[in-house]
Amino acid sequence: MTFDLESLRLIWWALLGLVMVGFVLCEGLTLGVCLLLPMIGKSESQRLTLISSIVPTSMGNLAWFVVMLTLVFAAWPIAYAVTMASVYPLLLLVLLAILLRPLAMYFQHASNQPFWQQYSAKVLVVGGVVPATLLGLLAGNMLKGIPFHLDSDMRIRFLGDFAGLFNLFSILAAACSVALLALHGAVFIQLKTNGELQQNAKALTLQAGVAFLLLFAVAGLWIMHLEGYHIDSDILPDAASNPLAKFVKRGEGLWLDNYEHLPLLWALPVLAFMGGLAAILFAKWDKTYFAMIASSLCVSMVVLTFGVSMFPFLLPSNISLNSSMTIWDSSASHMTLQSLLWVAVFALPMMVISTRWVFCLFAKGNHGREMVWGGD
Amino acid sequence: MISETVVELSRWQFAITAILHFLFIPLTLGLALLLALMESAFVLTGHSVYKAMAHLWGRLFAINFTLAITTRLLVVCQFGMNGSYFSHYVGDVFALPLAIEALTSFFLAAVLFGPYWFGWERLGRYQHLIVTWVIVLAVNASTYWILLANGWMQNPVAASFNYQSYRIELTDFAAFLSNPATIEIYLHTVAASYVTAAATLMGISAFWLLKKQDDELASKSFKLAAVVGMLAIVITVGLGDDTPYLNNSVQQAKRAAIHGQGNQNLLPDIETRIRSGIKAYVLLQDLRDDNKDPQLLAEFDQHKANLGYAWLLTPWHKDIIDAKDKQIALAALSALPAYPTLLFWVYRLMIACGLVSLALFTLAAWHSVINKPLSIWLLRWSVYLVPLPWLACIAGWFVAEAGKQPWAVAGVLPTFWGVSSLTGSQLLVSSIGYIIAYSALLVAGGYLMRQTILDRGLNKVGVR
Repeated sequence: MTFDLESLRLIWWALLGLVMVGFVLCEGLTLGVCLLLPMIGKSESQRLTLISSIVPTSMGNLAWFVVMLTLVFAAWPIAYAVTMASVYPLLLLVLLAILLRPLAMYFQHASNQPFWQQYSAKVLVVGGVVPATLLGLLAGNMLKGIPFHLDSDMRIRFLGDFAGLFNLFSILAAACSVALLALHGAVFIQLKTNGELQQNAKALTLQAGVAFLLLFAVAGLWIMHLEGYHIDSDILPDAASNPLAKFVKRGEGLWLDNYEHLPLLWALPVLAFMGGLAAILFAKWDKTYFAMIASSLCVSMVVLTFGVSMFPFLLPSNISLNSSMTIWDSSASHMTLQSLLWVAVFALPMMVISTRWVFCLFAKGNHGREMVWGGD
Repeated sequence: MISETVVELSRWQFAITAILHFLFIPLTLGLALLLALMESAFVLTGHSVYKAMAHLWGRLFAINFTLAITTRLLVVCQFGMNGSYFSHYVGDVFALPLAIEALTSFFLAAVLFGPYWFGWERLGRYQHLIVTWVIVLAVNASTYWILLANGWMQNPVAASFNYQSYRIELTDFAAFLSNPATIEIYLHTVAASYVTAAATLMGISAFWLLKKQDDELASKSFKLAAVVGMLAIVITVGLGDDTPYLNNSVQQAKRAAIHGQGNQNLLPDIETRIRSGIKAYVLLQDLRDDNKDPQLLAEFDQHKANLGYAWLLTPWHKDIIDAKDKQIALAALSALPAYPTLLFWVYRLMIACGLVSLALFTLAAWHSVINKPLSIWLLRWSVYLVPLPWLACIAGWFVAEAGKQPWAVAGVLPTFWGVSSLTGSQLLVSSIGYIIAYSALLVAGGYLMRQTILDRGLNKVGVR
């Protein structure tokens, strides 16, 4: 199984898309549940039930995040370097919020000291709200372009400031992300609990779902008039990676280019919308299993819509257009992409199967009992 | 040129985040194996004390494992956030083993943690045992991939500079996988981790035994740890880490430092390399001006291996091209480890810690094997000497990494050349953020471990 560089770049772009879908589907559940804790978990025992619904799978969920980041690093080293260095303060907040979460989650009841329970309760909510908001904000900024510049020796300079990341479109994207994950989390809670908790989650599914559909529609309309990016020179998909070897233009509505060339792609945002709608309806009719499938469809399609709209860009620069990163000119070398593909062919199915297995293993019953110190 | 403050802050910030991740690795690696042994003993003999052992030590493992995974997330991001030029320049090679590890062993260990920790009642005995052993294999495999990346920084084989993409690219995957540096480091590091975990387990068991003589769980744990630790320390001390004996000039300088030999004899070679690097740099500028002359390219290929040495000049002379003899001499001097005396003593500290631990384990293992009652002083010393293997691990890490300075990747990329173009204030603020978050994490982790060690019975809280 050997491919030329052009195919490898395309394959890895597709695989990254899949891993990103996996990340948002899985980690989205953790984020969604944590995000909803203050709204649904009224009493201490309700909070414990909520947390225990997500705990056994949460380490695997986090692992999807690590895999996604590392794959970007290996397959597009310079795009990784630029993203990380440019939005450094933003990512730092995300990471610090995530960093504190697992310990509080696993060991919430390891100690009956009130200070420990208060600490872990706060950490969990912050660990849901901050990443859900800021990762959405990051997605919005990626669509708008990030103010970075590449020197001739590929040294990266970030020419914007932290406050600049909080522009209106990106805030919309952040709100959209929070609503989406709240929907995803609420459906999951509805699936895993019963009684009062389930009813609370059901009410929230409706609210979050409607909010998401509205925000997603507004974002869609906005993108039609948002300045998109386009490669203006010949694309050399087989050339050595050098982002500076091309010309890029920017213009209103250019993010819709791909949809014009391939109208079939409209299916992605349409399915995202329909998935969201179906999740709301199924939740309303108490068909929670189907609601979960619909919400997963919605989440996956939102991620794919985001990726496909930007294709072939990974990270456009709005200040030095030609420095923009695309999948053709910022990838790893042929040998690295090829070697990693051999591994991924086995590893990705393993990841999907093992994730599925763990979710099935803990599908039924309340693990509140097992959660307290591994159930001895 | 990036200011010196930024370089220093970046370097320290990276070192601290890396070492705080590294701190959780030995216990995770070693405890995983010990837990698997305990659980196997339970499944084979059906003796409930082994199950109690697996559960109790499983708690310490879980705390450590959680911390290891979360801090890992941070280290991955630190490469890009803090060393973005490093990430671009060597990412094509360096990130490959990290990605393989993340996709395979890292993911497997993380995803199976749920079934391991919460699945005692949901899985059958044998199923749970399999999960435990898969985690053991996965964390050990992870170490191999990480050390492949680390070993490549010590001994950068199978890669060369591509003038078109302006970075180091992989040239031979098979040669990369079999980097002699990694094989040297791997067994030494893994065995040292087992020693550290065994010493910790032995110390805690001894602490319990001192409180209550006939504690069966503690005495069984003590004996198991003593025997495993004994085997592991023989491997650690016996094999050593021979990376400094590899034939590359950076390792030669390290070797000279740890043996307290003079290293001035290395200077002429380094100067020659710097001159060759300057040549490569000049040719590189021509090549990038779209000169496709094959002769030029051939000449560049001849010198490009030394291109990294040209970057050494930048603190002394901004334009690499017309560097004078004096500046070359200064740059050459900067290529040698800055604190050879420190390396000399830290290396000896590591060996001393190793030898004392060897003596302790020999005694403890002897007492355990012949089933002699454990004397008070042996138990006491087992408690006192817990920090030694930890100290040895950190000292070993220090010698390996500090001995390679000023290089991030030996002979290829100086550390100062790899940092991001951040501002001093950004680094200061983020460092404060790290300090706060890590303090919270360490306090929380330490608190939980303390609870586990002091109140073994305090597990039945909450909904039980």
